[in-house]
Amino acid sequence: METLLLWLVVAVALGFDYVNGFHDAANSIATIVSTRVLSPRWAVVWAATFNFVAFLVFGTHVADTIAKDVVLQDVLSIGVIFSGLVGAISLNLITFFLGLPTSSSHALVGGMAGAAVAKAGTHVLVVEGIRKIAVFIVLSPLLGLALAFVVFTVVMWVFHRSKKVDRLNRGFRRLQLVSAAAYSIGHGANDAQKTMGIILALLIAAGHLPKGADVPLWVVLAAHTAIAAGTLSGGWRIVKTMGSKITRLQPVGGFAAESAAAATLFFVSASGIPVSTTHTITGSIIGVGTAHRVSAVRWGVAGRVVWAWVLTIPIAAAIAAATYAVVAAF
Amino acid sequence: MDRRALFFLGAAAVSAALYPATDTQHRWVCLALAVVYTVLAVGSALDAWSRQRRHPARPGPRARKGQEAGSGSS
Repeated sequence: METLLLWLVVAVALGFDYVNGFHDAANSIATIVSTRVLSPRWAVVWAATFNFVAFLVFGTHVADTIAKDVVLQDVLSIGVIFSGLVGAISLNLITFFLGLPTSSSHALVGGMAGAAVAKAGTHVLVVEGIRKIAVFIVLSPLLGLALAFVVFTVVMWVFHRSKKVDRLNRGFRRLQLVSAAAYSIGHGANDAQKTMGIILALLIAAGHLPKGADVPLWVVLAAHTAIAAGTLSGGWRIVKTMGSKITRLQPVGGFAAESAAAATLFFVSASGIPVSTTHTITGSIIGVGTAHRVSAVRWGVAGRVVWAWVLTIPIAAAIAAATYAVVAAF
Repeated sequence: MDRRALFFLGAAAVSAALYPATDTQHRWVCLALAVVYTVLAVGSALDAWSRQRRHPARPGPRARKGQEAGSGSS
């Protein structure tokens, strides 16, 4: 019975990864769609391919952080992880239908923390690990914003005397394919690893793996396949918010935003820090907007997004805690 | 003061404020961001100042009407 439950929760975790890819497909492709470099259909194929390729580039540091640095491993059980996943998936679906680009990662961290606290109290939280994740909630968009501003300004400065604007735009449209691919690798590396971390925690909790074990290869492949499949299914509501409602982008702006976000994601993934890929690309798009002028950014939309960020962890934690209360009753 | 410079100054302040809360391995990120945003704030302020000097602000439509009315009556 327990084995059946274990595989059921593994399936739910992979379902979360699928929803994550579906939810965040917009981030990978919003700029290439809004600058008309690729049609939406080809854009999702492009993004999904590089989501999958990510496992060849990065290790599993982020997965280790999720499995070991959010809550104490002793408290993890199939019920806790299932409840955490329910909290994260519910919030993802709610914000998807509201068209808000919130963070699947923070929903997951909030869900895990909420369910673990409901089971055993606040002392099971790993303060150091959660603090590192919390600090990078703020730092990752700031990093993306600064990098995008600098990249965009340098590119504009280098090419400002060029009178062949059409040729320049064509060149940057091609370069955007490279930057979108790099961003998709970063997205796959950071977001797929969160699911790997969840499955690793689950296998350790169920006694299938010893404490401190590495992520098995089948988990790595399954997580990347699920996120790529989710991206392939694509979600269009958030594409609109990301691609045009925050600030309007030209190919050069899209290239700068994606390159900056990709560089940020490469750095945090290599450092084992789970961040929100949504926050990072939003910061980068705002960076390009502020390089034009501050009024080019629609701050109302950006503010709505910030509110969604602030509420993600507490709401996911509350749903997960309520779910755990129901699970524990059985 | 220029709005963009203020925005960057705020970002520099947030980055600096996160320095003590960040683990020692990643503190350089906060420091680097605080420095970069401060440089961007100074750059933006200087850019706004030089633009203003080159193209002094024209009086708004209401002020122009007032001027025209004033010149008409004299």
